[in-house]
Amino acid sequence: MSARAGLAGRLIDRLRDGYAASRSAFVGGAIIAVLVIMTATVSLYSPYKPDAMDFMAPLSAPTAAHLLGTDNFGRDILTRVLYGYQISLAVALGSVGFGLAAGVTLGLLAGYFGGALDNIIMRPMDVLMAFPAIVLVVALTGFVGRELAVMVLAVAVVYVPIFARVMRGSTLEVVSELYVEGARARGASHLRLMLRHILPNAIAPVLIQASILMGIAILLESALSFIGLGTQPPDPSLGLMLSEGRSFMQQAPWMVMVPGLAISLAVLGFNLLGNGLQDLLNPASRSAAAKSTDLRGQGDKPSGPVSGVAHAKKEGR
Amino acid sequence: MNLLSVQNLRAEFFSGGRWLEAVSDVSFDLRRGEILGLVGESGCGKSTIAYSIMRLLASNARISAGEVWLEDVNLTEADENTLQGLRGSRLSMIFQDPMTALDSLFTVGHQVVETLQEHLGLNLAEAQERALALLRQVGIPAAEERLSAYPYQFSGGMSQRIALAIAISCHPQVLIADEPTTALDVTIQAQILHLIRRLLVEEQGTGVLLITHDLGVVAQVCDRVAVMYAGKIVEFSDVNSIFKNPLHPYTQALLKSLPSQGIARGALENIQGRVPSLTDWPTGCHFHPRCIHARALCREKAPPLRSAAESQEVACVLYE
Amino acid sequence: MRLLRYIGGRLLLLLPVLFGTSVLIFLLLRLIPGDPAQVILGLRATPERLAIVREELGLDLPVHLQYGQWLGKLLQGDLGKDFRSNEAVIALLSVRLPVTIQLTLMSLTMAVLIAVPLGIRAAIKPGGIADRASMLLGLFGISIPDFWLGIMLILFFALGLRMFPSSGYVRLDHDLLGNLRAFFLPALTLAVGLSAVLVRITRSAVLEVLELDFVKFLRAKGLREQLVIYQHVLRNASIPIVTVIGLQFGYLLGGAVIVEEVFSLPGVGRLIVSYTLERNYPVVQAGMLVVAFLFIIVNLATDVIYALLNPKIRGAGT
Repeated sequence: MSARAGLAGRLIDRLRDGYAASRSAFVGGAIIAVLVIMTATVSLYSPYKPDAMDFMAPLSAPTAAHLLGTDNFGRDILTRVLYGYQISLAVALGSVGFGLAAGVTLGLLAGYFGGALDNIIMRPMDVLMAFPAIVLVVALTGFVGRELAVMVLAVAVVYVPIFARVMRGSTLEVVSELYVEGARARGASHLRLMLRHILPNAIAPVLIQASILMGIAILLESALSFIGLGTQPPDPSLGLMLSEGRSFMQQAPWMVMVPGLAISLAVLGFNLLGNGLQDLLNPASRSAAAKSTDLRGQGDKPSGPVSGVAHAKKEGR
Repeated sequence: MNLLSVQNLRAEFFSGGRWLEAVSDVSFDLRRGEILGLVGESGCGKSTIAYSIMRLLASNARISAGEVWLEDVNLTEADENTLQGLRGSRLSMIFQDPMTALDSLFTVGHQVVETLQEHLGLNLAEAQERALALLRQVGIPAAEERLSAYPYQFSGGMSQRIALAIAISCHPQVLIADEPTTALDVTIQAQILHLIRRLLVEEQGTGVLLITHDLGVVAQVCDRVAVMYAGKIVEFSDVNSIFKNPLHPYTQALLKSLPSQGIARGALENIQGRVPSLTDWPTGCHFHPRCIHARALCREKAPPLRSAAESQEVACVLYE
Repeated sequence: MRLLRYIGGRLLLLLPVLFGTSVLIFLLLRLIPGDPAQVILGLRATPERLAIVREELGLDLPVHLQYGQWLGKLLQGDLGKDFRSNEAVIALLSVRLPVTIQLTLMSLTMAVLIAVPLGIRAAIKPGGIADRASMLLGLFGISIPDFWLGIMLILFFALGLRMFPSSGYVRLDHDLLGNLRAFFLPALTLAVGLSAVLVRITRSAVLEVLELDFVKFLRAKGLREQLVIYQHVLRNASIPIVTVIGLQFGYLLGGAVIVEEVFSLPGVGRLIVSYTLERNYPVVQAGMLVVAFLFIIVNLATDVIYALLNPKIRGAGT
C-alpha cells in the first residue's frame, strides 16, 4: 500500500539526514583544514614566489609546470591562490575574532541585565543592521583607509550586531534555566553567573553563526578587493586576481575561473561546517524530512492522559 | 443495514526502527441512523481507527491488515482520487480542537463554499446560498454577516458548529467525530451533541462514529458502544446494558471511575498500574496486568469478542 | 483602522533607526584622517575652493551644529553637492536610483519564481528530485560569490553564446527589449543568491504548515490536494516567506553594489563604489542614505504585507 512506499522513502531520508548532518560538518571541516594547511605551508613546497613574474610564459594555460596556468605577468596562479587564501583567512579570523568578542560581550550584557541596558546596547545595533554589509564595509574602508587592519575592523563592525543578537537571544533562553536560578540562589555574583553558568551554555548558536560568518568574511574581503578598496596590488588576493583576470577572460579564462572557484570552495567549507554543526547541536532544526518521521500520535492531543504513542516516542530515542 | 464495516483492522506506527501495533484486529459495523460510541483512554488506538477509515494516517503509520467498507466501496483498496471524492461527501470527519481545524487566513464562508463547490459542483452564488442555509442550520446567529468573518472571531463552540456545517454540507452517510466536544465546556458540549443527533442521525439517517473518552457523552447520545483497551475492543454492547451490567473488568473499572471526571484526566486511579505504551503491550489479554480477576491463562490467551448476554459481546475468559 | 494603528506603530519604531542611520552616515566624514575638504578636493585645490567647501560642509562648526546643519538641509531635500562637478547630488541620484530599483525588483521576481515552486515541491516530497535540487541550490547559491557568478555568466552567455550584452545600460523608456536584455544577466546573478535563501525558508515553512491541524481537516473534507497546497498551505506559508524576503532585501541592495560594478550598470551601488574610489565623499554619503532609506522602507512594506496577509492584525471580518 502507498503508505508503505512513502514510509520507506522517509526512512531513507532520516538515515540520510542524520548521516548528512555529521557528514556535512566533517566535509566542511576537512575542506577548511586542508586549505589552512596548504596555505600555511605554501612557501615550503611551492616552486614559485607569488609575485615572481615569468615573461616567457604569460597567460599560459594549465600545464605540468603551472598546474592552474599563469596570469598576464606569467605569475603562477595556483601559488597566488594559496597566498591569497592567507589574506582571506586573516581577514576572516580577525573580523570574526573581534566581532565575536565584542558581540558576545554586548549580547550577554543585554540579555542578562535586560531593561534600559538592553535598549542602550541593542538600538545602535539596529542602526548598524540597517545597512547591507557590503555598503558599510565599502564606506568604512573608503573613508578610513585601505589597509588590511581597516578591512578587518570594518567587517568586524558588520559582525558585532549579528553576534550580539544571537548571543542575546540564547542568553535569554538560558538565563531562566534551573541551574542558573540555582547558582543565583547560592549567591553567585553577576560576573560569575554570566561567565561560568550562562556563557558556556549559550555560546553554541554563536559558534555556528561564527562558522557561517567566516565564509561571509571571505566573500566580503574578495568583493572589496575586487572593486579596488581592499587588498592592493601586487599582493595576491583572490578578489583582486579575479578583477585583474577580467581583462583577459576570453584569452585566459582560467584567470577568472580559478580564483572564483577558490573563493567558492572556502566559503562552501565554512557553510557546510556551520550547517552541519547546526544540525548536530540542534536536532530540532534539522531538515524537516527527519522531523516528519518523528513518531506522532494521530489526533491524541495533549488534553488526554499521556498517550501510548507519546510513550513510544520517548522510549524509542 | 450496515453503512460502514470495519473488518479485522490492524494499524501500526513506525518507531525506533520497528513497526508497533496500535490497533490489533478490530472489527465492528456502523448502522444507518445510529451513533456508535468508541470509548477508551488516550493512546488506546481509537483515533488511529478513525484515521485508518478516512485513509488519512500520517506517513509513519500504516494499515497492515484488514478491510474497511463504506457500503460497497472498499476504502482500504481505494485510490487517492476515489478517496478524495468520498471524503467530505459520503464520509465526513470533525476533530477535537475546533479552534485549529479551520484555516485562519480564509473566511469561514469560503471554507464552507469550497467544500460545496468541490463535491456538488455548485456555482459560487448557489454555494454561498447553501452555505448560508447550513450556518443557520447549525445555529450560527446572524449567519449572513458571519459568512465573511474569520475563524479568530469565533468561540470554540461556534467554530465546532462551523466545522460541523462543513462536515454535513454534502449529506454524509457516515460522520466520524473524533472527541468533538472535549475542548468545549459542558453546556456547549450538550448543544453540539444534540445538533449531531438532530441534523444528521434523525433527519438524514447518517451513521455517526463518536470517539470519546467520556462515558458521560456516551450515555447522553450513543446507541451502542465499543470499549477499547490497548488496541483492542474488549466489550461491545448497547448503551443501556453497558451502564446496567458492564461485563469486562476494564469496563467495570471505567464505570467505577465515572462519577469523578469521566476518564478524562489521569483517570482510573482505582485500577492499579498504568496504561501500557505501544512498545510494551502485555501478552495475552492486554489488560491482565491490571485486572483483579486475572488468571494464569490471561497471560497467554486473548479471547475474541463473544456474545455473552443479549446485545452484549465481551472479550474475556471470565465469560468463556 | 486597526491596520493604520499597526502601521503607525511600526513607523514610530523606525524613526530612531532612521535618526541613528543619519548620525552614522554623518560621522563617517569625520572618520577621514586629515582635513576632509583637502581629501575631497585633492592636493591641487586652491585655498579659495578649500574655504568654500569647508564652509559648505560646516567644518568650522562644532560637531553637533555641523550635524544639525547637515540634517536641516537633508530634511529640505538637499542631499549636498558634488564638489568636483558642482552638480547637486540629488540630480545624480535621481538618474541612478531607477537602475538599482529595476535591478533589485527583477532579481527579486526571478528569485521568487525559482525558489518558491522548488521549495514547495521539495516540501511535498522530501527526498525527491526537487528536494535534492533545493538542497544544492541552498548550499551553492550562498557559497558562490555573486561577482564571480556574474563574470561566468558574461563569459558563457554574453561572450560565448552572444545571447545577452556583456555590459552596459539601456533606458527602459528608450528600448524596452534592449533594457530587459541588459538587465537579464545581472538580475539573474543576484537572484541565485537570494533564491538559495528563499528555497530553504519556503521548504521549511511549507513543511511546518503541512503539520497543522487545519490541513488535516481540509483533507478530511475532501478538498483537492492542489487546492490544499496551492491555496491554503501556500497562503499560510507565505507569511514567513514574505518576512524573509523583506529581510533579504538588504542582501539584494548589497549585491547590487557589486553586480552593477561587474555589468557596468549605472546604479546607486556603482555610484557608491566609484565615488568612494575617487574620495568624493559627500556623494557617497548621499548614496548610503538612499540605500539605508530604501532598506528601511522595504522593511516597513514587509510589515504591512505581513499585516495584510494576517486577518487578525488587519482587523478583517465582520
